[in-house]
Formats: sequence, structure tokens, C-alpha cells
Amino acid sequence: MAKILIVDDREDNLMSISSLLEPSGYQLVKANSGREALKILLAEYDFALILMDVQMPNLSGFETASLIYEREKLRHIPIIFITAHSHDEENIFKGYKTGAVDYIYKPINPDLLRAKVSVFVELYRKNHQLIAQEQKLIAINKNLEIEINERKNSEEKIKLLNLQLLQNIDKLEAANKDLDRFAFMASHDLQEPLRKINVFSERLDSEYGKHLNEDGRKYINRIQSATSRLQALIKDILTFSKISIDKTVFVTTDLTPLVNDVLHELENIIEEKKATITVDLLPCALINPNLMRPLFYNLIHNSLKYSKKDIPPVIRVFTESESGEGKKNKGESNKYCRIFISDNGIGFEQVFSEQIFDMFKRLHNQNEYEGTGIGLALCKKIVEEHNGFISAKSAVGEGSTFVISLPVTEPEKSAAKIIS
Amino acid sequence: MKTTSPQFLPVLLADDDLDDRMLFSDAISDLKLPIDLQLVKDGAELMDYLLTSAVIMPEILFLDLNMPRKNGFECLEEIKSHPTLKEIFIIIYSTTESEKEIEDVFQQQANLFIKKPNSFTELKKILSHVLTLDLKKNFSNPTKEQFIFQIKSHS
Repeated sequence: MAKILIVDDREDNLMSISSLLEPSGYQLVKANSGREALKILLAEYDFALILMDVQMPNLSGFETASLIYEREKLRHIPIIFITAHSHDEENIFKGYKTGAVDYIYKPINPDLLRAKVSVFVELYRKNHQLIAQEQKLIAINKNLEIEINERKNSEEKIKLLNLQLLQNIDKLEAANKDLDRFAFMASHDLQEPLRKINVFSERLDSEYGKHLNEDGRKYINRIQSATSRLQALIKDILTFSKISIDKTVFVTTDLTPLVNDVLHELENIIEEKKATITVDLLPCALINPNLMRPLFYNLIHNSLKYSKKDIPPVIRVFTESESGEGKKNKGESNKYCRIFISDNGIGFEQVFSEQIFDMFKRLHNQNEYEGTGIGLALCKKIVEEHNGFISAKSAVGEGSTFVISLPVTEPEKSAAKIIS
Repeated sequence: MKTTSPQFLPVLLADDDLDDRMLFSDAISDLKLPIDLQLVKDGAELMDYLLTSAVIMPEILFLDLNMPRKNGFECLEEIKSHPTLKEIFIIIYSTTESEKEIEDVFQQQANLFIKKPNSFTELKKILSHVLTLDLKKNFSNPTKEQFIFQIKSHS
């Protein structure tokens, strides 16, 4: 309810103004002098309006108003002066911007009084609503600011973490490269003395073998087979370490002739094992042929090597193109082309399907199946160098299927060269 | 300097590896080929031999690449840019598998590349092949494929 202060030295005036305004439901506070008005205003500031008689003894209405407006807290309260005639002093208050000032001349027209009062009260109410809304807005703004700051802080934290992550990745990559370089140098230098061991044990065997007994010759054979195993191992480590050292050049390559080339290389063992190998029409892919050849060589060679005894190997190389699960944008799906190499060999337990790609991981004894334990690690590294991935499915006695997934790059982005 | 009868083919091996020099000369003498073999143990000694002390200019030089003091690449360049030495038939004899190095020596007009074999029998096989071929006729302007020696393609 809006509060109105009525100031008049005459009780009858107070009464008549009150009776005019009471029906509108205002809360009316009466003061019969400027001094009393000031006294009331010391304790209460929440008046919507002051109705002020101008002609009062001691402190006139204008003087009282001046004193009221000296106080910051009261400056917003509008005053309607009730006066008998117009004064020059009215102009005094034109300078006050904070308090609205109006005049009502005696004799009072009740409708005019009610109308003016209701305008000011309405103004007061609107003002209050505005102030309340403003305060709400300020509070909301503050919350927003806090939220924004928090977000900024967390964003910065994320950025920092990302940066650290990137730096760590760089460091890791550099360390990996160093490791590969070390492996390359070490295995390269190991080859020399190994070649000598090979040459001299072979000479020992061929030139002095006849002077040795059976045990002696057996020992030399052991040296030789250990040497050739070590040679195979070093050769594989060299190949492995070279992948990341050599700069890889990607060209769009038709995979069908590439796989057929590999089969050509494997001719002898294919014939020996009486293997049947079918190669479906494979897609073109943006690859490094120098890496892709050993990849297929190793996988097909494995299929031939781990074949069932007395059952000729049946190997199939085929493809299937599909969208990857990790779709990023609606328009741009990550496409992978998948190439399968399946066989009817001895297979392996599915639990080993990831371990088999680890360096030096072998599922068989050297006496059963020869190998260095590097072949599949090499395959994995090659596929990863192409931003793809490799997996295997198998069961003991059921054959195995290796899946190579290579990202499909848009033709315009890739080199236009086609090797076939 | 040893004096050699004219029907003996003068062959020179430049290799810093003692074992390889021994194996090489053992292989030559096992093969009983009419060859006069001289050995030098690095690139500096090789150039010194060719430019000052050689009595008979070698017809074939087996040149190792990785040698101290002066390596095989430097020797190859010097020999091929020398007015008379450039006539020597140069066989690179190395363990290198680097395609870049092989390409380099091919471009430098070496005549043949032989990778040091893993067995003595193999070495004898290679040498008996190479040293009985008419090298000047077959390899004076080799293609890259002919340049990298493989016993398979000649047997």
C-alpha cells in the first residue's frame, strides 16, 4: 500500500485531504508542521508522495521541502505543493531532478487531487518495480559473471591440460623415435659381427667338419641355426625401427595388384603347402606401398605358416567398406575401408587377439613354428602409421581372420597419382 | 710390389675389415683363379696406392664404403674424376642396405654393387661368377637392375 505524507498546519485541511484520499486505499500519515514532517521523515523514507501546504507558520512548505531534499534518502520522494496562488519561489525546485514537483492550487479540486496523487503513486510503484527488477537483473548478472568466470577458469585449465597433453605426446613421439633410432643403429651394428660368426662357423663346418665327431658337427649346426635365428630377429627389428625413421610417402594405390605381387613373392611356400589363395577386387587406398607390401606379406605368410597339418591352406583376401562408429559431424563421417585376410589354419584362442600384436609375443614354441615374434607387431605399426587399426578373430582349430581398417580419404585431398 | 705375369688379372680390394680381407683372399686362392690380388686397408691407403705405388694398375677394384680416414664414396668420386684411374672397373663391396647409398654409388658411376654375403661358400660363388664374366662388356653402363649383383640372374 502506498504511503502518503500530508503536511498542513490546519487540522481541518488535513482532515479534508485525508477524506478525499482515504477511499483510494492509501496509507496516510499526517503532520501539522514542517518540523513534524521532518521528524517523521527521519524514521520513515518509504513515502510515495508528500502533499505539502505552502503557507505554514515557522517553516513554510518550500523551506520544509528544501530541508527534505537536502537528504539524499528523501530526494526521490515527489512533493505536491498545495498553495493559494502561484509564487515566484516555485522555481526554486525546478533544479531538483530527483524529486518530482507539482502544484495544486486552492481551492482544491478533488478530482484533480485524486488524479495527480494517483499518477505519482503509480509512478512510485512503477519505479519500485523497476528498481526491484533492476536488482534482480543485477543479481542475475552477477551470477552470470561468476559462472562465466568459472567457465573461463575451467576452460583455461582444460587448455593448459591439453597443452601439457600435446607436449607429452610430442615428448613420447620423440622418445619413441629415439628408441627406434637406437634399435636401428644397434641392430645395424649387430649385423656385422653376426655375419662373421655365420661365415666362420660355416667355414669351420665345411673345411674342418670332417675332422670332428658327430657331437662337434652338431654343435656347429646349433651355432649356425642360432645365428640365422638371430639374423632374422635383427632383420625384423631393423625393419620395425625403420618404419618411423623413414619418411613415409603416401600414394593412392590399387591394393589388388599389390597383394598379387606379395603372392608372387610367396610362390614357393604357396606351392609347397598347396595353398589356395583368392584375392577379391580390393579398393584403392592412400597408402605407402613400401609398408603395405610387408603388411600383406606378413599376414599371408602367417596364414600359410600356421596352417593345419595335412589340410592345404585356403586363404581369402576380401574387402568391405563401411562408415566408422566415430562419426564426428553429420556431413563428414569417418569412413574406413576394411580388408580381411581369413584362413582355415590352426587359429588361436580369442583371448590372445590383442597380445599377438605385441612385440616378441609368441603363442608357439620355436620348435613348432619358427618366428621372431615381430611380424604382427610390425603389421600393427604399419597400420597405425596409416592411421588405421588391425584386429584379429579366431578360435583354436577354426582358422583366423585378420581385419585391417584403413581410413578412406577424400579423393581431392589425396595425391592424384595412381600406382597399379 | 709383387711382379705379376701379364695373364694374371690385377684385382684390388680396399676394406678396413681384417676378417673380410682374409676371407676375400682365401676365397680367391681357393678358387684358383688367375688373379693377382692386392689389399689396402682404407681409402687413404687406396688413393695413395693408386696414385703413387701401384706397379700395375688394377683392372677391378672391390671397394668397401664404410672405411676410416677416407670412405668409399670419396674414393669413388676421386677415381671417377681422374683422367686415367676412371678406367678401373669398380665393384662396391659393402654390407649397406640403404637404398640411398646404393643409388648414390650408382649415380657416381660405380659399375657393380655386391652385398657382402653371409657365408664363405656364397662369397666364392659370387667371386667365381663375377671374375669369370666379361665385366667390361656386360657392366660398363649397367642399368640399376644390373648394377645390384644377384647371382640368380646370372646363373
